[in-house]
Amino acid sequence: MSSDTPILSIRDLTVDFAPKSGRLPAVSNVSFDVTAGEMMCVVGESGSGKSVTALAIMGLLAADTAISGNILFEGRDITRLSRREWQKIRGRQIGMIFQEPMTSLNPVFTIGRQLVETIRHHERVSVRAARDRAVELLDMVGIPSPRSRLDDYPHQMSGGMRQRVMIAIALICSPRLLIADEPTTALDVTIQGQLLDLLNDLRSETGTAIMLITHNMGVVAEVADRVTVMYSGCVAEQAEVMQIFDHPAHPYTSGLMNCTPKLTVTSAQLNTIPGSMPNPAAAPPGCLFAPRCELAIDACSEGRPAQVNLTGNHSSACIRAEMLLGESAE
Amino acid sequence: MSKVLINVANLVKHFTLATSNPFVRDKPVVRAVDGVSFTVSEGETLGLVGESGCGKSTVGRLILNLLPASSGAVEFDGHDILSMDSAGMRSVRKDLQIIFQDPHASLNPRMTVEEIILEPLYAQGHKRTPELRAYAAELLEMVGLPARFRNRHPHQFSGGQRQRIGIARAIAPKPKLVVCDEAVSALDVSVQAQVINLMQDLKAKMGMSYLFIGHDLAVVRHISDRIAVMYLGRIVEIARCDDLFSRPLHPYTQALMAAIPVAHPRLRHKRDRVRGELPSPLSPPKGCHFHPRCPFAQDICRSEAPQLRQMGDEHQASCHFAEDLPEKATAAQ
Repeated sequence: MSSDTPILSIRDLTVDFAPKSGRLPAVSNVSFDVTAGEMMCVVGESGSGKSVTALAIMGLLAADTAISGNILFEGRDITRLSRREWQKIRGRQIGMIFQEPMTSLNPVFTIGRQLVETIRHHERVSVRAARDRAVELLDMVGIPSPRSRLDDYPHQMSGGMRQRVMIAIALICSPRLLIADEPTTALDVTIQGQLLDLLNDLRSETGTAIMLITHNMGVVAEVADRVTVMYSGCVAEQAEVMQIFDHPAHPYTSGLMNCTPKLTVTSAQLNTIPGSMPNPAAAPPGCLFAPRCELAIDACSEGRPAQVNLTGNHSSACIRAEMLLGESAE
Repeated sequence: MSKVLINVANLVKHFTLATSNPFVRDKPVVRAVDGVSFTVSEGETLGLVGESGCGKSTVGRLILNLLPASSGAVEFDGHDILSMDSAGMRSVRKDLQIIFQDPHASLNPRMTVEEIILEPLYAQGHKRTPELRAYAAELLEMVGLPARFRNRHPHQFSGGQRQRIGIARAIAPKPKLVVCDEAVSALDVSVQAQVINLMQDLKAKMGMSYLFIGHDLAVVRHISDRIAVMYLGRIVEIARCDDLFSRPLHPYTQALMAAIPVAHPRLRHKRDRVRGELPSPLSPPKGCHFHPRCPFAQDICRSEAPQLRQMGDEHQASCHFAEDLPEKATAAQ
């Protein structure tokens, strides 16, 4: 389904917050691609820099953040665009849905008005035509009796329904890329399943590439084509989804998978990763994961490990990646 | 079987909503908890699962008497909890503690860690003595925090560390039952695993019971001996862990299990998702609450509410067709 041309290419993206009062690196040297029509999952825990990366792509970071590196969207660097140029891309070619369906809709307008407003912002159509289009979109995202729901205010809808409305708004211009930042985290598990199905169906119907940000390895296992694992602002590992589950080549990836409780495994103790993520203002000098890593050797604390290319599209930022890969192959 | 520690019988909590219309005589009533019964034995962990709005947290609050119940009975260790006054509750709370979901909101930001974890003991009339302070240090060590942190304030800790402080506070009076209300839901996976292990260690060490309220079936399964599944204010199924997972006898339990993401991409499969959403508890459907979303619903389900029935050893389910459900579910797949 997916072709090999990346529509989004991120190279050495570095984001520092409050550069005047002291450097606070949120994202360091992140590089990855999203190819047309694929589902790319970015997975990591709070503070891993996954949402900041998404905001950087959308050009939504505050003015005092220092951004370096390149973000190429369809071959064009979008990090240095003017406001005007941005408006041609944001919403039109890259859509975004946020984690909080409770707060990302305007509570004082009906959802119909919010949809119509966005449609008419992007297309020159009459209000009547925009309303028809809104009904079509709501129907597409699985909202029952869509025409009567147009006059509902956000508070009259459940969290799952609001998230469907957010997806409908993001789909207005049939964007080439949809960034979904933890779209199911605030929702119940039965609704999460429905929405993941919806995103998957939309992707195969419209060919939109989806960059799905999540902290849940289960969501990754369910929908991802490719996976980027982030830890403390850096990319730890990247691979196709099968490869990463069968042969993880970074100790953080395997740690993350092992500490997730599973229905199939019942043991007395869960595996854990000791400690917690380092404070970005006082990060250790070497590998950022080394203080929590069982496999750390002296060399791990001497400088940041570079991405090592393993097989095919598989890369890992662990100096012992090849050893790990050899072990899991046995 | 060991002694029953808490016996909850037909517990009901209705919230009456305010309405601005003076001509409405019958104010709308939310049946948050609508006749819930269960027991927790000494040393046992009962998991209580369900989606948002099913009433599971309200149950937790009712049995601690943090909310007055509308009707029903809660017998804890020989005491009738619901009829107790606040002085009586104070003496019972020594044995009955709670851990809250949000580690950021449940610790007083102006108190030091030591004051926070000794607060339940002060409430019991203990005085701040060197022994008590030493005990606070011991508690901190028990939950995996260095004792030298005792003069710090909550904002100096991460979410996982704060939850450990909340746990230390709950176990300080050496309780018999701890209600864990979504105690690990707000934590990152790697930290969540640490806290779950800690809770299990403490249980083994101190021999207490847990009522573990959660929405993540995998987590609840991991920690519980038995599980009760709630839907719209009622328990729809209750069974021993293994039994519930190998032989779910309520369509809602099956739907919950089917919705859990797979553990490996190789296990992906197209499945029939449960349709729709939780109905409003203001006007729950007639008959079986689950019938509008149930793939097996018949006429009787729309008119008659099923009762919780004994379906085997320690296994109860409230479905008219619980007997036939395993075959129906396999046939549907």
